[in-house]
Amino acid sequence: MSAVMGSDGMAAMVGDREVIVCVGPGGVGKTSIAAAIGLLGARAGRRVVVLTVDPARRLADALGLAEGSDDPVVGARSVAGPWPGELWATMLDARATFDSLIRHHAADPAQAELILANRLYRNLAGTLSGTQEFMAAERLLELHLSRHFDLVVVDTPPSTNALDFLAAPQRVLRFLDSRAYRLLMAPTRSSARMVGLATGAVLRSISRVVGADVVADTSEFFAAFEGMEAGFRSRSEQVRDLLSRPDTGYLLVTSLQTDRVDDASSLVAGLGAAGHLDGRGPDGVVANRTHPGFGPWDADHWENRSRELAGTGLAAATSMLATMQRQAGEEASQLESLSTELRAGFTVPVPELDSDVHDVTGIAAIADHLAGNPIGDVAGDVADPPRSLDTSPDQSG
Amino acid sequence: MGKTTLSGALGHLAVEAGLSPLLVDVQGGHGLARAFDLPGPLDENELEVAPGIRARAVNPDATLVEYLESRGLARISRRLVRTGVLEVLATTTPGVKDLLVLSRIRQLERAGAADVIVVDAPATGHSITFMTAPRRLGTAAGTGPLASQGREVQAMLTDPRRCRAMLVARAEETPVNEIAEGAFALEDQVGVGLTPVVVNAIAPPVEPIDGDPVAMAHHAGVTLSAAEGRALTAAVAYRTHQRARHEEQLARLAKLLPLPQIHLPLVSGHGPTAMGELAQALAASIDSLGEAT
Repeated sequence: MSAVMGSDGMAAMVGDREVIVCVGPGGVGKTSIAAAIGLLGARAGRRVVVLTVDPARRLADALGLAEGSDDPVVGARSVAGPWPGELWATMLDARATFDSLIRHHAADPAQAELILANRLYRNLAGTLSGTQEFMAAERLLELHLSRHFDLVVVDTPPSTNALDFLAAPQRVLRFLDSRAYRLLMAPTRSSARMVGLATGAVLRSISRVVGADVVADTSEFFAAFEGMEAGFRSRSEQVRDLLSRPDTGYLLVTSLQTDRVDDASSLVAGLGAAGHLDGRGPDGVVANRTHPGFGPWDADHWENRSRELAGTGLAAATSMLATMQRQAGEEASQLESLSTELRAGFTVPVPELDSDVHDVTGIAAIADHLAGNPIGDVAGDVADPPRSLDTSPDQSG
Repeated sequence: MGKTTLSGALGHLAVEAGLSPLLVDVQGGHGLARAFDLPGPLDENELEVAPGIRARAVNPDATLVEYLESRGLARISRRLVRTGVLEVLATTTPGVKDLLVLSRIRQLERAGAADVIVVDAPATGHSITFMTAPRRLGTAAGTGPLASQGREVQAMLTDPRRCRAMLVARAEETPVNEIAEGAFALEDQVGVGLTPVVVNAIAPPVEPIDGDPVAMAHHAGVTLSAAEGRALTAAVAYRTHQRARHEEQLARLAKLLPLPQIHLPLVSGHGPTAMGELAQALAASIDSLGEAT
């Protein structure tokens, strides 16, 4: 792969993918970026839906998610704007998605109701890590199969460690695996020996420690769930297939603050380790809220100027600009090494904009930066495109 | 935002004050390890990560296993882990791992492991769940061993002489909202006392340029190009705007939350150097607050 201009790489993804997954740590503006990518798709004439996970209030308002409900046919709400395609948005409701999976796979309504009322089930969504990711992936599959959209852009739950969007659902499946429930639902002497445990005495000991009602609820859950795990597993395999396809696009969204870069790096290491990207890196890296540069001169240049202009009314400004260029330069090299380490196809920096996104205009401003033609750039006519756009690694093979 | 680096900076401050701090990571040990440029994650063993500063991790899964072992299930605890039964039981008892992690921290406190223990806690939303676990599990009516641990931990959390929560955020709209909501949630649902709120990465104040830069430079015998002049003007405009936004958020935070604020500047670079700068800024800011923290 040759080095690609960030905006070209983004345009190509938005133009031909059916699924784009945005992964990254929390607190970096990932949902806003996902919404902006959706808008780019709509501008390209496609029918796009953005699946958001936990949007900030103002962004939810901007996308029309704060009130009302999804269109019952399409399963999302329409975001109006001056584009030839369609932009839709929906917010993940992990509990509702899980409930509907239970109802769908249950043999009859009675079995479903038993599970839905069970204490373990009710705690699952909140306690078992990976449940939100599992439900986001399930919802992605639903939207993809619905035929209403050409492109699904997925915002993901914030992940700050290697437990990632792809591997997390496996935790949920392992949890539902027959081994644990076989022991607990009806431990006969033989099944208990299979897993190497004594029977009633053990359960009594466990009951004393965690409470008899906990053990009872757990047994009841797995008893009620019996027979459903096959349906869950096969549906999960469909999800995994969709996520593993070579043409499912992955974007890493991060800021270049150090805390975040390290999170991002181990996040993608986790993705690779899970084997789902077949050793390839994310298709692109979007660095959000970067420091803008101001012209081609580096920090040293402005430090010299600052010395030359000591004692004048320009001393403070030149010194300040030296610091800013140093910060911008550090960020550019951080972006470059992150991109090299992750073998990303392209990078796109999005500078820190005036405020949080409040409305569609704000989303459009981010989209303009992703498209490489920012309007009214805060850095003014003097700024060159930030250097990092040109530093995507030259990949061969 | 910058919570981990701030935890490290607090460690430095403690050392400066002649105290012996212990930093605790409760989310896998990677965060604090990276902040101190360590080659691998922290584990249950204390490590001196900087002169006078010790750090360790408390692993939620490990505390659960230890708890079972302490209750007479040592012989089967490994099998409970391997078969996934332990994870299942923990899921049916939400908050049990959080409670046990806090309980371990309480043990360290009771044992005098350090003069001050700094816990790098989960991000705001999760921290509420984390810190309400003792109250949820330690209800007055409960009688089991978990319930009594819950009550003991709750007693530590709600005693301001033993424990405080420090909230930190950047001066941006969403983080400020989250901090304000988080503070009220911590007070109502946990009952923990709060330190002054720390606001991070604040842009410095900017002097406007009093005239045309090229002319001003010329007057001082320096030839500045028109393009350089435009760059200076644009940079000053950007910083001025950014500073104004931050000040607006600081004012908004003051309205939303009647707590003193500690302001920390933008710090460039990363790792131990940035942490040192942050520690100095923190010390200066606390001095100017004029109260013991």
